[in-house]
Amino acid sequence: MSRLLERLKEEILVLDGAMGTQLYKKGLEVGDCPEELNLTHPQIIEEIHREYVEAGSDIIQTNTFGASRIKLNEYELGDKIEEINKKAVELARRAAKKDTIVSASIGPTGKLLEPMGDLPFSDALEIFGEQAKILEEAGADAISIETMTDLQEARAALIGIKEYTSLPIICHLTYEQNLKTMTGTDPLTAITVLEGLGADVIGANCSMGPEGLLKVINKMGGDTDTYLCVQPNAGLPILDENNNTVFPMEAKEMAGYIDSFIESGANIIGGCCGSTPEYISLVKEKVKGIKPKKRERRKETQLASRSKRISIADHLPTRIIGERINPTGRKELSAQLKEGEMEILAKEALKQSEAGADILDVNIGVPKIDQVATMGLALEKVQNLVDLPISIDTTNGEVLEAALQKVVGKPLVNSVTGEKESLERVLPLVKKYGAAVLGLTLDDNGIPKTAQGRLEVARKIVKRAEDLGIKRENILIDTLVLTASAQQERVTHTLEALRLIKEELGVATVLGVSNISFGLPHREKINTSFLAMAIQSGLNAPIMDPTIVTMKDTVLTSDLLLNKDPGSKRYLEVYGNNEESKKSKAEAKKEEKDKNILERIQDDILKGSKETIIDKIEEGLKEYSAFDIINKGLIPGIKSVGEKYDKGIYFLPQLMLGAEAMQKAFGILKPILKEEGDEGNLAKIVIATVKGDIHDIGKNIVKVMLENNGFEIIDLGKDVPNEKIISTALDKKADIICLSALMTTTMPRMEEIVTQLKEANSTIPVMVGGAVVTEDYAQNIGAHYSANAVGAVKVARKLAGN
Amino acid sequence: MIIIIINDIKVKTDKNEVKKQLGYKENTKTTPEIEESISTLIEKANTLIKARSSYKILDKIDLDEKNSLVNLGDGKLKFKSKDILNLLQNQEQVALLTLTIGKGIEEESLKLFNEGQLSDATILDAIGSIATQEVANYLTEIIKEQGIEMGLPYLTMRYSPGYGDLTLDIQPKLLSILDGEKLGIRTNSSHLLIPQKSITAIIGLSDKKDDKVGGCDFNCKECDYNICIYRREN
Repeated sequence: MSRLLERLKEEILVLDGAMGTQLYKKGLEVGDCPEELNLTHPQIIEEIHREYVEAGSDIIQTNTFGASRIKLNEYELGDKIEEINKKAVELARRAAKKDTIVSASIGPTGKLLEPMGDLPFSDALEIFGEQAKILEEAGADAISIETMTDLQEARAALIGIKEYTSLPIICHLTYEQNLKTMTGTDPLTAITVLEGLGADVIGANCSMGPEGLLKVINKMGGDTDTYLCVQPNAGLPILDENNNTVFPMEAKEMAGYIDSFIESGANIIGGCCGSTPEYISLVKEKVKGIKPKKRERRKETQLASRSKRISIADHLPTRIIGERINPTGRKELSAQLKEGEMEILAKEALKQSEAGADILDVNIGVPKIDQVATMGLALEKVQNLVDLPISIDTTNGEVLEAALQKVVGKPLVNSVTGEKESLERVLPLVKKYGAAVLGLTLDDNGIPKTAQGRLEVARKIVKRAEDLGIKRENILIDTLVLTASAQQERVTHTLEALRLIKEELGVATVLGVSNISFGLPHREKINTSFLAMAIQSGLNAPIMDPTIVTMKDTVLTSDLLLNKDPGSKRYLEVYGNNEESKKSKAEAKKEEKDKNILERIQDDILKGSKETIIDKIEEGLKEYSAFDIINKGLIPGIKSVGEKYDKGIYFLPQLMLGAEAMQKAFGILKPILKEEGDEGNLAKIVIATVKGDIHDIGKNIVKVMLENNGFEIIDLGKDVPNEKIISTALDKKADIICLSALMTTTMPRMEEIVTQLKEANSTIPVMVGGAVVTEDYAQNIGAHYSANAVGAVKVARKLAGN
Repeated sequence: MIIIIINDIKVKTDKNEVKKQLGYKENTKTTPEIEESISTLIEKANTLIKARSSYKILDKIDLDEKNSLVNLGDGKLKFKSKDILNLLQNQEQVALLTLTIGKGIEEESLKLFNEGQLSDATILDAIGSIATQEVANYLTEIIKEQGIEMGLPYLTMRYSPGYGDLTLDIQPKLLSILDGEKLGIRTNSSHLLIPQKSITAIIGLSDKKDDKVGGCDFNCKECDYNICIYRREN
């Protein structure tokens, strides 16, 4: 075992502090490549290392943070990669005492990885691997992956370094104020992913103060027994009147946090930007003689996406693996995948996520296509749309490895079997990429008939996986569902096997539930019963279609009855408070029928149902005039939309959906109104965004709302000169002028217009609004203010005397 | 210091941020239709966004307190602003930046509006605003990384023309320093940015933490800056 891991068993180790800060203090320009200093100013680098060693650092980190080929190339130093990295280790080693651990620093590439950026995962693996290999050969004891902000890059670094070296790895992510990394990963998700990949020490450093970092370490400490490392920010030392270096308040305060860090379970404590040897000696004093806190690991199966993790365990709710991204038996989806089109796939991902899937299975198994490329596209699409962990569903080794590189987080590999060839192909990839794996209980002899036989296959899979270093909690077992129509007597074998495996092996279990009903009528009825039985027998994660309501309901109700839904919380969320869902569809229909057609038109506006409103208007016209439909159906409808908006029940999109339905209705009614000889307009309004201002979405929203409330609108557009607004208003005998301005620089046009109107002896009232316009400003210039489109309608009604 | 131009930035628009921008509070429920519209439109937005940006770090800051005059980079950019005077008081260097997500979203949004797809048009516009902020956050992060490398790890808030007393008329000059033309960012006669979904800003970099000018964390509820154009009521 390495020295680092040996010592961590019993001690809290002290890391070093910042390198850059010290270089700066020693008067070195840090504008150029800081790693080049290993060659140009070796004595200074060595001196800094020595200062930390003497201050008490048990671990010192080499000056190689940016010495990857990709970073060095930016300074045209790529060809010196070996020289720079080797020299760095040598300098640290020279400064080290006998028992000092030299950990080689590796930082981010500065490029974003696919799918967010354009650096291919496999290139990143090579880059990290190359640097790590040089560092190991030069004699480093460990590798410190530092200040990663993108989980995917951290993955690439870990996998690459493991591939090329056998050194222990400390992996740091950088957290922001919201306790997430820049790309949205929280500490617990990070733990799941980094542990899966075999990080020996998981660390956190950050741009926020020690208080925020303490929260991060606290969360991590309560969740894992993996060693933890913390590098708080120290702030920079300042000079006092005698030109002595002293710690600013922050650093002193920070020393007060060290006890809490230890209490939260930190095993290594160092310093980030701005920390100094003086600070390190403070840390050393604090940790002297203190044993690291013993922490417990949660033995739960965990999967993760970039920003979310899912735990699978008997005491937790049943987790749904959404099965709909699968071209088997689905012609349209197959056809699209063949063309590399992802439209249906995208819809399925969204639908399942919104229906409550916890994990999404992705299967693109269409014959005769480039499956590697298609899987890549599919995963990119799915991960862009939803934040659920992925189950990679393929039996092809090449496709699997490509997918494992594309998935950000910790996926489930679906699947391995007990067959020799499958075990040899799949398990090493699962280990390398830190995934979890689903084992199917079949082997070279087929599916065992008995439950006992399936248990034996499960044992074999678990043993082979564990031999490779895959942890028990990263193995899930599927006892295989056979169709009841063909093998009715064997249905219970599947369930019995679940129980046996759960009892003996304690692993999480999975079943492809809907197989059970193949070939039988009314499959849903059988599927739901079987699902309930399976959950009771110990099924943790059914592969199923969450968009089928009865299936989802079976999960919810089974969980409630089996005490997997504490306080019936999830059940009540869905069925407790929602008045609307209590009503059956039949009841709703009956109510609908009883309502007068005008009320039903109102309802359509309220719901924004632009598809159905046209039929209803046609129906209404049989009984009522267009004028009545507008004033007794549409206007009350849009008024209640406005009220809901005012109360914060509706928001802009719903307001606009209501408006869309109104416009559809007006499309039919306007010509008829003319025939009826009454255009029914409340008042005439000239609306414009003022000269110089080009932002007009706000004005357009106001315009639509006014129009829908029965005002006649003359829209002059944006960037309109004062003169044009005034002359139009006078010529067309407008009742109101409505002005919008977004910027402080264009707002003065409003005042000018009001003044010019007065000079022209006009009494046309002016309404104003827009981001920077306030009620005070409006009053000052003698105009009428409204804060939003709904407010504007009210003001306009008032001004029109209605 | 040279100008750093970054093309083809990938933008990841957070659905929850879009909902906030549209006025939804944390716990309000939308309808499945609106959820789907937002998701689909984020997809669509991804094909319309062409994010580009540039920044430049200047090491010379001259502040004339008496006349409220700010002089950055030895006369490269001179203007009057008390707010910027305060912002840069204890800063070592200053970053100028500009960015855009292109005109795709605003054009499509207008088209949708004219076609009567009012809800989609409004949602798409909100997505554009969030995406622009995402790009700004991304760029700020890059500047911060460079700051850390230079030993100046503390950044002030991102201060844009239009905030406080910093007037819009410095935008043309800012853009010419930052090669705005190359990015397709221009100004109109009243100094507004075209495309609309664009930002220019100033950030101070320091080796000391200065709580007075701590970065904006978009905690608008606690903020007194009533006229901030990015203000969100949530």
